[in-house]
Amino acid sequence: MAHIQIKDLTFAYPTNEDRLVLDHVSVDIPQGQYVTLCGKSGSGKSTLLNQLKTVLTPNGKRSGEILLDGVPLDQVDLRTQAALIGYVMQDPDSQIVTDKVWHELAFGLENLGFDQRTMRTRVAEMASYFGIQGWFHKDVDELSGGQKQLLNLASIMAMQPSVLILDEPTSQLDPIAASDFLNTVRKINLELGTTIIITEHRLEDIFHASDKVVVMEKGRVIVQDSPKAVGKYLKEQSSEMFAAMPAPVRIYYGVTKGKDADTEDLSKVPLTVREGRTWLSELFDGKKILPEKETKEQEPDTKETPAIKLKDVWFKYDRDLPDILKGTTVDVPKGKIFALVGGNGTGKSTTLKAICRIVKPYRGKLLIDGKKLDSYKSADLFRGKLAMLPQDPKSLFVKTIVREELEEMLGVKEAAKYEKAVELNGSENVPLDPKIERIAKECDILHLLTTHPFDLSGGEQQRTALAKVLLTEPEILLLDEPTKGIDNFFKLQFASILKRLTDNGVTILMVSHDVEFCARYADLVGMFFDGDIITTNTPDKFFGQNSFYTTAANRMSRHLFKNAITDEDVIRRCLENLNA
Amino acid sequence: MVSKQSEIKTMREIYKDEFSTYNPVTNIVFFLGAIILGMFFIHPVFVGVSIIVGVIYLFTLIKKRAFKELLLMLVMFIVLAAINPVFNRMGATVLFWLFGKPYTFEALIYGMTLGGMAVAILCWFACYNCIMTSDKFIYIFGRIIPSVSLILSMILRLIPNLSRKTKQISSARSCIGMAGSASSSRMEKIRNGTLVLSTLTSWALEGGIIMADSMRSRGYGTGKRTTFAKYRFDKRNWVLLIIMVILIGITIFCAVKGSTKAEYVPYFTMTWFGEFYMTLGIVCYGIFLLIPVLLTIKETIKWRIFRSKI
Amino acid sequence: MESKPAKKKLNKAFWISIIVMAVCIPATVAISYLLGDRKLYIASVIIMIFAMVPFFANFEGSKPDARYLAILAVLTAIAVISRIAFIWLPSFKPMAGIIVMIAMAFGPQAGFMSGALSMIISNIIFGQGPWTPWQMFCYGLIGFIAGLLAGGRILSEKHVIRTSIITFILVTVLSSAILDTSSLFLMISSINAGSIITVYTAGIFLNMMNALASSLCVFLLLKPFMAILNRLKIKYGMKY
Repeated sequence: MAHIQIKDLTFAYPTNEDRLVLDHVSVDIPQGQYVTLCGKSGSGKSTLLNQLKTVLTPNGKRSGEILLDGVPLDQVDLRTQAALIGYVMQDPDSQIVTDKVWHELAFGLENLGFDQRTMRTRVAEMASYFGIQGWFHKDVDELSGGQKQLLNLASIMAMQPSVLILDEPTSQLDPIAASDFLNTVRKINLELGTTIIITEHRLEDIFHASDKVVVMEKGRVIVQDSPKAVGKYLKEQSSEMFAAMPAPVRIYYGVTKGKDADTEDLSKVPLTVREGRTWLSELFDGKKILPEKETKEQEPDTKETPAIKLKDVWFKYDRDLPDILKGTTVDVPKGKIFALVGGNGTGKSTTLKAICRIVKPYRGKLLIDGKKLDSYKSADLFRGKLAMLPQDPKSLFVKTIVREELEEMLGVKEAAKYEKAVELNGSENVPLDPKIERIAKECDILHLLTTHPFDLSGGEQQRTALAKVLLTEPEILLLDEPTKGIDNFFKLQFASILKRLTDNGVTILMVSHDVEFCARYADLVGMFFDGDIITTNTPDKFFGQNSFYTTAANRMSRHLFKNAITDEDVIRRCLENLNA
Repeated sequence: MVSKQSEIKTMREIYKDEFSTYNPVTNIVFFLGAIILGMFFIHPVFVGVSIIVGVIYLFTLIKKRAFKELLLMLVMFIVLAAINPVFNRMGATVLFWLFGKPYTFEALIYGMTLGGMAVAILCWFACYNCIMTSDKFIYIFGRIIPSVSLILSMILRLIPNLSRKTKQISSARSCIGMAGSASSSRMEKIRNGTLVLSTLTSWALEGGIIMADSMRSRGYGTGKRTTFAKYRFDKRNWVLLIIMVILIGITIFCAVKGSTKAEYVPYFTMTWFGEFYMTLGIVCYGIFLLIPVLLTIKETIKWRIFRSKI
Repeated sequence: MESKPAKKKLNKAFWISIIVMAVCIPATVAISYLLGDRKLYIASVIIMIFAMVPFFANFEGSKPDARYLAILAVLTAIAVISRIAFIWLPSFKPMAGIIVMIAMAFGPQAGFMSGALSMIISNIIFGQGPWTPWQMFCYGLIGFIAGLLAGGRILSEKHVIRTSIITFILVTVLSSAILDTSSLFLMISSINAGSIITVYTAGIFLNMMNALASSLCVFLLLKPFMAILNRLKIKYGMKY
């Protein structure tokens, strides 16, 4: 008997009962399996996960049933559910309830009314298993994002659940913390036999480890099978979700294209970089690899004044504190997308802050368009010259609907005028300001104008915030981790907006952890390390030289091809060589 | 703002103090004793002992930084001592006339005693603030009022998080030219501040809903709740607690017998050393107040000996 | 989705505490009378603690559910740090204004709790002192009275100006009556006309500054604040 059985589950929100958010979903999950749930945002993944725990299930019309060890879930009392079903949510920060690490670990046990002796043992055990002893007495606020999410996991594991549900647990973490976290989840699955049900945008780290992959689309399960079979199915159906598969799978099918009999033999499909490497090596065994045609090195135009120029910039928060920027020097040419990559705490974000005058360097030169930053008046600088899209789009929302958010940018008087007009005549009857209309169209948020900004999805919030920023008509746009927490499809849309902006002459400087995004869309990439930018190059050269800090496609193929960093590069080079 | 926060941080340091390793209940009994007795004993010698021991303890706790605190207290002492006789004209020994009113010696002494008392109490509160960290405070509350203790812990968890969000919002707005600068008008600044607060409220409440979900998903509200005790109440705590209770008992007994009597009208008189209850009272009071300092001394000597044996 | 009923009814614990208080306060007054004039401070602190007991007992007895607890925690935290949003105006402290609005949204019980809790928290952060119980009582009472006034529709988001003016008066009167009295009892030896006038006139300016900040904050923030909370109540089906 399966551990969890979802039988013909259908669900709709009370506000819109005709739209089925879950449409006859049936999934069986045996004890101890690792199940990955994927789908575009809005496909019903999170709704399905919420159904697996009664206290998190929203109001709505529901049919079908969920069985936990053969018992219908609504008959399992809440206390038992709290212990048996662990649930890790997306945002590492908001889930934490108490102010101390030790208290957070004990919180669930307190709620279940355990005695002191049991609590002590369980807390000690979890602290040791997760390596938390070192920060056991700390304030939770001193922890990094990765540590916080690990703490959330540990405090749930202290209750000894038999199933662990994770809803995009790493979307707010940097790649290194994310893979640490996912490895811990894997370890729990292997060592404790806990059933895992996980959703993720980044499938690279979990796809190969899954016993079963469930793909959802518009509230329906379109396929549930082993990872390799799912890859094949999505390719055959030419589903949009194929683009979310890990790079080795995409490259494999891109190269074989179904004309090869290999597509029938699933055992050959590579899921990890290692398998991909082996497969490529076998494919080209004994063949000579054609050298890549050297593209002409583009000489950077030194005459043109860079949009942003930092020369030997030093910064620290206080005299007694260590330096954060240590002689940072960089030129950002006009009309390009410049991406700054590098680990946490190296000073990337501080560089953006220095350019925005949030922090003030104590030494060095900072020029915007060849003019000293200090010589600009605030009113001029942030109107038409420079603007920053903050990491968290929510920090820009002050109004109750998107339309008012955008109109706020017209100034207090204008905004009040529109607000009054909308109040009198209704939103449809008051024409938008032409500038707002243009930018809202560009950012694809025209259909969202009457929605509350906090009801939007992550990607939509991002675009709304971008529209707000673009209403200042900046020549230089700064982006702080623009792809954090948004899925691949929204990223694609976001990238095309950026592309259009640079075509119109806007300069973009972004800070990102997202290697794949930078590789694909940036014009120049700079590596930040220890307070300074150590190398700057075009993405193909930049990532081509790195062995660790690079894309999966590059890691998989670097022993054969030089500077092939995106899937398309690798597929193209493979086909060129195979056809030669 | 940064310096302010680092200051708070240093206040929260864990001090190398033996008394702080005792159970919070022991800690709070001591401080309640020191503060409440301090408020009752309006006798120059008792007040003096309380100040001296309080200052010594504060020095062992925060070392050099105590000077700054003490300077403030000294100023307060002088002001209170000098001002009291202006309002209070008891006593017969006129020192001089001020605006046609007598300024008496008795009132000055009384003012000094009261000023001293205020300083002593602030001093003990300063020590209290070093020893009673937020988790100890919450631990004590958790025994009596568990829901209040939980919400306190939640608020303390939110404060640094929301402060950071507030700053994020302010800078995000300033980077699109929507925040006033130092040069904008007062009203403009206030308007901008309230906009920041409104964004913060929406954002933080969304987080609050997630926090509530996380609580319920971990079984909050499903039945009887227990409270995890990080601190144990072991034998040494019992011993110290009993010693403290005995000392407080004797001190109060002596006070009832008149050990803390001081008269200001018509002439200033007070009990003095040599009188049995006064001597017993002040000795017990002094020892009681010295407990934390004595514990630190004891521990220092013990470790000296340990090390020398190795 | 079970939700607790509206505006937390005052329950049994509350009435028990009232009875306890009815016994304790006269007893305390009697003891302080026996101890002599100098014990005003101690006696008043004891009375104040007794006066706060019913509120805390009521909160405890109502077994607050997770959402109520989380939302109250968030709003109280916002009240405590509200100062940071006005970083350019160092003396602008709108905390009482936020507490008034919390009380208007969630009733007198929540108003008292957020007022008293925000003061405990401020003092945990910046250091406890003999003033802690007074401040707790003062801000708790501001919240409580604001909650009662909102229940009687005297404070309402429909009358922003009236609400701001009443906030100003409420904060000025209560801070003077409670906070300045604590300084009087703690520092001054003899309570007479001279000392009373000195202490209260010294305090009134500061109290009015804080009250003005709170009242301005209510004036500008009341509508959006209530809109945010109403949206939340509808979206998550809360019935507080």
